[in-house]
Amino acid sequence: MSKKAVLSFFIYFFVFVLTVEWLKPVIELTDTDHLYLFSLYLLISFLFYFVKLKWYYAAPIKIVFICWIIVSIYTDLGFISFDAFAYLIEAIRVNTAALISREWLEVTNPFRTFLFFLLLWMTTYLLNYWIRVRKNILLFFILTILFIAILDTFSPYNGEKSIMIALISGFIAMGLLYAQRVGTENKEQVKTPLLLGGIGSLVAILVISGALAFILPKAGPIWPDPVPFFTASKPSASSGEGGNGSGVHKKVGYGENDENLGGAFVADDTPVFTAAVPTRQYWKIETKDTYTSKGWILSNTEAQISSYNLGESIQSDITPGEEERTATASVSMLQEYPFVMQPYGIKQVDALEPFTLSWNETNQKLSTFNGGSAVPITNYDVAYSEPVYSLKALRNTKIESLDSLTSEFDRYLQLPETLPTRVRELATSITEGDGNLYEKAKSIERYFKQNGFRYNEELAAIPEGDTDYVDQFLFDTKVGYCDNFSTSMVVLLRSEGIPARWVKGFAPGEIVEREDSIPIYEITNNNAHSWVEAYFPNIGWMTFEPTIGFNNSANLNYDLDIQTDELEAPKKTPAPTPKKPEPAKERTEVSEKLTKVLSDSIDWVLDRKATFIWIIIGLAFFGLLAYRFRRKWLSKVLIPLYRTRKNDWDSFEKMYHQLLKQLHAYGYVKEQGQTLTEYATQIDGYFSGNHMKQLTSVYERGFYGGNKVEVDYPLMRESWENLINQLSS
Amino acid sequence: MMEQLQIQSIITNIEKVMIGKKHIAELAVVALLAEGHVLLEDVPGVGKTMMVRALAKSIGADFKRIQFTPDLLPSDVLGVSIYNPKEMEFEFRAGPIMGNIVLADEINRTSPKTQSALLEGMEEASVTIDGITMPIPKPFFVMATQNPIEHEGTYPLPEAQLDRFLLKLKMGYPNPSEEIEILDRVEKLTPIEQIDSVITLEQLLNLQKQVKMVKVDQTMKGYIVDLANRTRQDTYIYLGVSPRASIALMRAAQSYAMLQGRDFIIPDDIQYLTPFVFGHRVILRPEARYDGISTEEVLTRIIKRTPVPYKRKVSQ
Repeated sequence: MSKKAVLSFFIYFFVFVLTVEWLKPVIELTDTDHLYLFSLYLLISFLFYFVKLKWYYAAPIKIVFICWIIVSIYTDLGFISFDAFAYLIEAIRVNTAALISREWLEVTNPFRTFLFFLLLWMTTYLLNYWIRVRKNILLFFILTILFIAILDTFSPYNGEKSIMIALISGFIAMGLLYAQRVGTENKEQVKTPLLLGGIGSLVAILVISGALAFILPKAGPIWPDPVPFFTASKPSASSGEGGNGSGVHKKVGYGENDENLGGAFVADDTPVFTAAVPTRQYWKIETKDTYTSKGWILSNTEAQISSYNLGESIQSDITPGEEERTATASVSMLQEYPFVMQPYGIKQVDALEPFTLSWNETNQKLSTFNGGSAVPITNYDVAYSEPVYSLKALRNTKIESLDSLTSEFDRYLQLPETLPTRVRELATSITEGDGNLYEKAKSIERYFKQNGFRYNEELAAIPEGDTDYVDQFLFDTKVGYCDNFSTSMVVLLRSEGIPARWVKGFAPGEIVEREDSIPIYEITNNNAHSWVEAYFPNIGWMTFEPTIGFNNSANLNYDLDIQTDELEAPKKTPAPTPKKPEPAKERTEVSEKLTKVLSDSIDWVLDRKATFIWIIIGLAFFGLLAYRFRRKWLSKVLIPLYRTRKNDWDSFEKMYHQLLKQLHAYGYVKEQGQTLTEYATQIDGYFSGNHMKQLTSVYERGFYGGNKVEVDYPLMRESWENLINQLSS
Repeated sequence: MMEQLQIQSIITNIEKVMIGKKHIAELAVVALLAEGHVLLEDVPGVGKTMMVRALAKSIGADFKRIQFTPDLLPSDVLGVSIYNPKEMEFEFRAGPIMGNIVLADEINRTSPKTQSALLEGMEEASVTIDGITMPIPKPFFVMATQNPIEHEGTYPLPEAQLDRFLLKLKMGYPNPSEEIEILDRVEKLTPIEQIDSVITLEQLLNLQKQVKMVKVDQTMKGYIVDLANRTRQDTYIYLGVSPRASIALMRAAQSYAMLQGRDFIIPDDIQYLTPFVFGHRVILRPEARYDGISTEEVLTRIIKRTPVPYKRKVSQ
C-alpha cells in the first residue's frame, strides 16, 4: 500500500472509532442491543469508502447486510431461505402501508431498525464527504465531544471512557487529515520521515497530555448532577419495597437502603399520605442502630416481634403521655407502604380493613399484615398521647447513671472502630461543663445551629475511600441535609456514652385543609426526614432535632409549659443553667416561620436549579438567534412600532436616530468627523436613492436650524420606512 | 430666497471674468458678507486683481488698489493732510484705503510700519490722521495678496496681523482647459469691461446685516469651540487658534450658509471653512515640517477626529 493509503486507512479507522462512540450511548440509552452488529455495519461502510468501492457495488451489499441483520435479530429463520424472503417482503408491505396511512405507531421494530441503519448510512456518507472532500472533521469531532459530554451530564450514560477515546482518536484523525491536506496542497510527496515524525509527535503529545490530564487533580463539578432531577420527575414506581421509608431519597446509582448516605437528592413532591391530626407530628417509621462510617444498617440482634390486633394497646419503648391528652390521627395513605406511620406516644391503631400489626423491637417498626404477608394499609386511625418529659427530671439525669446501663443498650452505643478521634474530642468539647445528660444532648443539638453548618440538599458530599461520613460533615463540608445532621448527632451522643438511635420517618408536612377545625397535613416525599432519639436513664427515649431549618419544638414547648407551672416559672428567671433555647424558641417562633418561608422559597429555587439553568440557556439561545436574524424581523417590528407615533418632530427625531442606529448596526458606520450630509450621501450611494438625503436635510433644518414646522412628515415617514425595509432585505 | 439669488448673481458675475475659480469667488464673497478681509497667497498673474475688480464692479463699489513696495509709507496708504494756501488750512487728502474694495497687492513687500497702518485701518474700519478720526465708508473690504513667503525681499506678516484676515485663500493655477478658455475670452474682448453691477451698495449692506441673522445652533457653537480647542492641544501645533478665530469661523459659516440658501449653519459649513479660517492662524511645530505634514493636513486630521454633534445630549 502506498503511504497515502496507509494514511487514509488510519483516518478511516479513527473516524470509525469516533462514530462508534456515538453509537454506544444511543444503544445503551435506548435499551437496544447488538452494538457489535451496528459497529460491524459501520466498519463495512467505512471499509467500502476506504477502498472507494463504487456505489452500485456497495449499496446492494449493504442492503443485503442490513436484511441479514434484521432477519437474524428478529427471527430464527435462516437467511438463505424462502421464509426469510417472505418475512422481509411482508415487513416491507406492512410498514409501507403504515407509513402511507400515517400510522406512525404501527411501524414494526424491524422497520425501525432498518431506519436506524439508513440513518447510519447517511452518517457514514456525510463523514466520507468530510474526510474525502473537505478533509476536515473538526465539526464532527466537536459534535462528538459535545454529544458525549451532554449525555454524560444529563443522562445516566457514563461517558468517562468514551470521552478519552473520542478525544484521542479525534485528535489523531484530525492530525492525519492535516498531514494529508498538506500533502495534496503541496502537490509533492510528503517525506516519510517527516510524516512519521509529525504523527509520532502528535501521538506523543496526546499520550503525555492525556496522562497528565488523568493524573492531575480535577476540580469537582460546580453544578449539581442533573440526572437525579430527571429521574425524579418520573413517577416513582418502586418504593414501598423493603419498607424503610425510602423511595424518598433519590440517589443516582445507589440502592434504596441507608448503607451509603450522602450525595445530592432532588425534590419530589409526590404526596405520600395525609393525616388529620390536631398538632403537627413527626411520623416515625423505624430506627437504625448500627453506624458503619458510611451509613446505617440494622444490627443482627434477633428480632423480637410482638403481634397486636387492631385496637389493641401497643407496647412501644416510648411511654405515651397522660391518658386525657390522648388524641387521634387519621392517616390516609396515598402510596402503598406496609407499615404504620407512628406519631410519638402511639397507643393503638384502628382500621376498617382486617389487619394484624407486628411490632419489631429492633427497629420499632410497626408493620401491617394480613394473612401472614405484609400488606399495605390504606386508612387507619392512630391513638396517641404525646410523651411529656419533666424538665426537672431531665435536669437530674446523672452522667454517672450511664454506667449502670444494661447490655441491651450496647447496640445504641456502637461506633465504628474507624471513627476518627477528633469526632470524640469534638463531642467532649461541645458538652464540656454540662452537668447532666439532657444538657449534653441539648448542647450537641444546638452545636449545628451555631457553628456555620448549612442545610443544602444538593451539596451534600458522598464520603469516598476511608472518609467517615460524620467526620467529613462535621469538619470538612459542614453542608448537608437531615441525614448528615441526625447521623452526626447520634455519633456525637454515642461518643459521650449516651445511647442514641437514628430515626427515619416523615416531618409533619403542610396543612392543606381543615376538617371540623382539625388540620389535615399532607406529607410528601419531600418531607422524608431523619432525626435522633436519645436515651436517658430513668427518663426513656426522647427525640432531638439537630437539622437546621427543622424544629421539633412543638413537643418540647408543650412539655415546658407544664414544667413552668411545676417549677414556678423558671422561664422568667434567668435560667440557672445554659438552658435558654426553649424560651428563646418561643420568642423566635414567628421569625422562624418567616425564615422557613424564606428558606423554603430559596430551596424551591435551588431545587429547580436545573430548570432555571435550562430556561436561562434557552432564553440566551433564543436571544442569540433573534440577534443573528435581526435583519429579518427588525423592520417588521420597527415600522409598525413607529407607525403608532404621531407625525411630529419628536417622533421624527427618534425615527431618524433609530435609522442611524440601524445603519450603524448593519455596518454603515458614520465616522466621528463625518457630517450627516456626507453620511447621507454615502448611504444613498449604497442604496441608490435619495431618501437619506431627504431625511437628513429635514433633520438638519430642524436640528441645527430650529425649523421644525414646515416638515412633510408623511413623506419623511415614507422615506424612512423605505430605508428600513431596504436594510431588512 | 432673495439673499441667495443676490449673492449668486455676484458670483456668476465674477465667474464671467474668472474661469474655474468658483470656490475662490465664493469664499471672497463669503468674506465680504461677513465683513471680513481676505489674504490671497499666490504668485503674480493668476487673476487676483481681476477677481477683486470684478467683485467691486459687481457691487458697484469704489475700487482702490495699493501696490505695496518697500519704500511705501503709511501716509501713502491712509492719506495725508496738505496745507491749502488758498483756504489757509490743512486739508485732508484721503489715501487709497478710503475705498469700498481695496486691493493691497504684495502686502509683504512693504515695511512692517506700513503694513500695520493698513491692518489697523482694516480692523477698526477707521483711520486717524493728525488727531482726526475718519470712518472708512462701508462696505469696506480688503483683499491683500502676498507672494509665498519663501520669496526673497519680503517682510512676513506677524501672527497678530494675520489674525485680522478672516480667510486666507490660495488661488492656484487654472487647469489647461480652463486656461484655454481664458485665452478664448480675452482674445477679442476685455471681459472686465463687459460686466455691470448686479446689486447696489445698500443691498450689500443689507445682506451683511442678514448674515448675522443666520441661526447658529448651540451645538454648532460647541462644535466650533471643540475644533478650536483641539488646535490648541494638537501635538503638531505650536500655537493654536485664538477665540477671535472661533468668532471668525462662526461668522464665516453664517455667511457661507446664507450663500447656500440656508438660514442656519450645519457642520458641513464649518468643516468646509475651517482650513481657510484656521489655516493662517496656527503655527506648526518644527516636528511637523520634519514629518512633512502641512497645516492643511493637520487641520483635516483634527476635523476628522472631532465628533460632529448631531443629537442633543440627554441632559439638555
